[in-house]
Amino acid sequence: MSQATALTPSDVSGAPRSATTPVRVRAARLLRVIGRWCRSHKLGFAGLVVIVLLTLFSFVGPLIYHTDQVHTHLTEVNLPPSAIHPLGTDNVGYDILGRLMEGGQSSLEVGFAAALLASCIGTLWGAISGYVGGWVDALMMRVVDSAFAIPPLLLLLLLGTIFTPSVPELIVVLGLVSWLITARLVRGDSLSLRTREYVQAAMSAGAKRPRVVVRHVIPNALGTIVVQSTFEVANAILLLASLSFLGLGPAPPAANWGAMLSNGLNYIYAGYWWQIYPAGLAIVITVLAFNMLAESVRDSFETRLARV
Amino acid sequence: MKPMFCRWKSWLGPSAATAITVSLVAAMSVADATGASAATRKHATASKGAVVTMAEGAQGTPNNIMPFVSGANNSQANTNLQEQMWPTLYTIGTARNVNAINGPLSLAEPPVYSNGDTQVSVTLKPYKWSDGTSLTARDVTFFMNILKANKTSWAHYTPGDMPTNVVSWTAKGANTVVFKLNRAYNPTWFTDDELAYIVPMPQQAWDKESAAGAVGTYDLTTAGAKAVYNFLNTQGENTATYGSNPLWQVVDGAWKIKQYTSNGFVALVPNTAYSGPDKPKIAKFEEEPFTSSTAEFNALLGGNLDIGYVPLNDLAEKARVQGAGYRPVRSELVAVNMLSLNYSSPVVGPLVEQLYIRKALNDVMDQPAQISAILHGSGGYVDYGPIPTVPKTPYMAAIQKKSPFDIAAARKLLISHGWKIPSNGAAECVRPGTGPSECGAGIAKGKTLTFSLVYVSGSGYLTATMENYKSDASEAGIVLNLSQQPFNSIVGDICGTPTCDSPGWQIANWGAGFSWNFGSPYPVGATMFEGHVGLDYPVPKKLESLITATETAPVSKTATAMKAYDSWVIKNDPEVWQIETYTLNAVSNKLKGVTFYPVTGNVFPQDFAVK
Repeated sequence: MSQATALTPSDVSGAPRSATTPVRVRAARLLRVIGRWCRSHKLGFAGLVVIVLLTLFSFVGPLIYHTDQVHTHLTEVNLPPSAIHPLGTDNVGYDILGRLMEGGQSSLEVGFAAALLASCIGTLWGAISGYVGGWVDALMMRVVDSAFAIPPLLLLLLLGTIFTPSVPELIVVLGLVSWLITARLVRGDSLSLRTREYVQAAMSAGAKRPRVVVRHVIPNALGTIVVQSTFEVANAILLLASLSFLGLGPAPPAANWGAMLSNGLNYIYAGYWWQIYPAGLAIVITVLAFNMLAESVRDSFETRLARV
Repeated sequence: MKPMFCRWKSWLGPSAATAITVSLVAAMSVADATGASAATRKHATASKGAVVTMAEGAQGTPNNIMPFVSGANNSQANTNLQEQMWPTLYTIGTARNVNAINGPLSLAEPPVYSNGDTQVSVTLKPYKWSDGTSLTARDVTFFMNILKANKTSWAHYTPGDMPTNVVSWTAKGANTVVFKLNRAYNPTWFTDDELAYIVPMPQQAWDKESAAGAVGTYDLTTAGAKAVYNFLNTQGENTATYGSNPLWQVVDGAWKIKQYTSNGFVALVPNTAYSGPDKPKIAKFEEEPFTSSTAEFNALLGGNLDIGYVPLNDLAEKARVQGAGYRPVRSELVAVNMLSLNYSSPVVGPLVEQLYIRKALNDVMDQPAQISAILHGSGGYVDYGPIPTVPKTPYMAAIQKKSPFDIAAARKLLISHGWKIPSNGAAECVRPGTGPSECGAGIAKGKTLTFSLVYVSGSGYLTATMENYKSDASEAGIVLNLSQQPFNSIVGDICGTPTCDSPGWQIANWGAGFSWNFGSPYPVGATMFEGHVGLDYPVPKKLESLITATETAPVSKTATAMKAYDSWVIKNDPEVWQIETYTLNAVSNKLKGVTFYPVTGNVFPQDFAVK
């Protein structure tokens, strides 16, 4: 059985690596590989396109479409969509299209950063637990099991009342409640990897445990980590939306899709649909896009593993 | 094989499925909410005959039936329930005159003041308890004895006031009680703010220390009165026995409790022995709890309530409510509303000690615009001081009638006191010191004008007004960092005295649906400023004397004393005043006689009749 390694373009194409290959040739090969991946994973490609578009919408959009998302405008409240405000305004006069862009920034920032943090913690925890084994593994996994028993939303609600939520704090908090699945998956990989010949060889050559974990175990569990991280982005965005919906997200005037949705639902009887649908759709589309991408990446790894 | 939904869910991943499900539910709710047809609704009144169902307020359900109210249980839900069974000695306010004693709802004839307003005689009307015994002076002295021994447990206790200011209370004959006071008091104040809180309690049934014990005269000793209070309070908290406990079946009000369920549902039936003039005309009165104001509004539009309320977020839907067969009726409490400032905070205490900073904080609160835009022009009224704007009383000074909103004035105040205001961000103290053009004592150079402002979570209207306040404040260089917390959490941090206040809070808005309700049309400052939850203001001697004057001035000088007190408070702005909201109730067109009394906002269902 071959070892599992991180997915690279050369792996997918099956072409041999060469240090002397000209950059232009390698770039062309990379494009071909990406093109082939996109053709064979249409849903994943669609997800990727949506994520890129959302990122541009959130970060480049405000540079083109200027709105004031800090000062309220009480003379322009609850306006329906028009040429001046394409998606209307909310109950304090914020332009909803502009607010959607601002909200996208915090959603994507928190989603990516929390997923990164969760992946780092989960990877280290799982790799150490699986590689060291014995009572250390038992103890570390019982910690994970115990943490799994606590519903993340309950914990977040508790933390939300203790800390004043800001984007950095939310990243830390969401990261700290999201690493458990990664830890469990990486631990599974690690248990298998520690018996491989190249790991045994490294140990025989005198490599220290931390070096083996960092240089051999984690890189070979990268496929699992990447897939799970992509799911974690979606989960973090949804958790942030849930927290904000409950009033425990970043405080106003910070924009957030969950808070926009929650605010819009206050006016459900007034029929202000433009305060509900845009934020709701943004959450659904973003989460769906990340899940589609993650599924496709997982398919890629599984296909490759099946091939080797 | 998995069902289709599960397969779909599996393919999308749990988070995406959840997101889609939530959005679909929201979308369906929108469609349902906006597409409901008046033609399909059915009024509860028509189907239930003489059973009238009213929604309980969003602030909570009854949790203590005993009419000697403790501070922890002083809620409108409790008092509204208690008053149906045990009316107060005097009910102040009629549908037409907020200041008048409500004769039909009061248990006694108007009080008679004598000896230079140092003595009051109260004569009871010939009422009977539901067990057949007569309401007597002993039932009033029973309450007073319990109060004397347990005064700090009473929600309405203020140091120096009832019962401390009453030297003695004596039964004169079977129906008259004579109160001798420790000095002359303003009769309006003493009637509205002291006598009106006395609740005659059935001594012949409640003067006992345990459920199995015999009725005695335990209230005559301090130890006995404490034991009686503890027993009654414990029984009052036992909600599971409300319908069956014999204690609560002895009433002198128009109603008896029939049922109480753990979610807060209450059913009252007429007290057949009621001896008041306004006998119940309906068979049953129910109070229905709701988990949210949205759920209540949904039930209202569905025709499942006879009396409900329009949530503040839905005030624009007044026409829809009318179309559903209801008439809107406002209920206005005698109340004011403010943001509380933490004078004890080591961080912002020195800032809020400065009058010009407090003035600036008031100058950037645009109440008229908030009412117009956020509350759709209704739902609240402006409040610039300690005298309630509505209902109208003769006590408001002219100075309170002018809106302080003026961002330029706030900027000018700060700049003239040594603050530099940047184009974006917090003002910074550049001239420290205690001179007239300097920042003030305890404010170092470089100190910024930044405050944390915590407000009650769960209110869309409140979030919007606080966002607007933050926005306007930022234009004067005042940075407000907003956060939300549950009501109990905020109140837990604010006790009202420097020794027990949490140092963490800086500005708190505990006023969402919990403004300062005076419970009297004579809104003196004693209970608001002296020792009650909410205000942290260290009361200066001058204010103390002005408050005392409002309680002791002769009748001819009542308005003068109140206006002097009002003017001083406005000039010193100890807090930041904000909108006081009112409740827009919805009353079924098939129901008549529904009045929300202006002082408490309570209703008396013996007035109700089905058309």
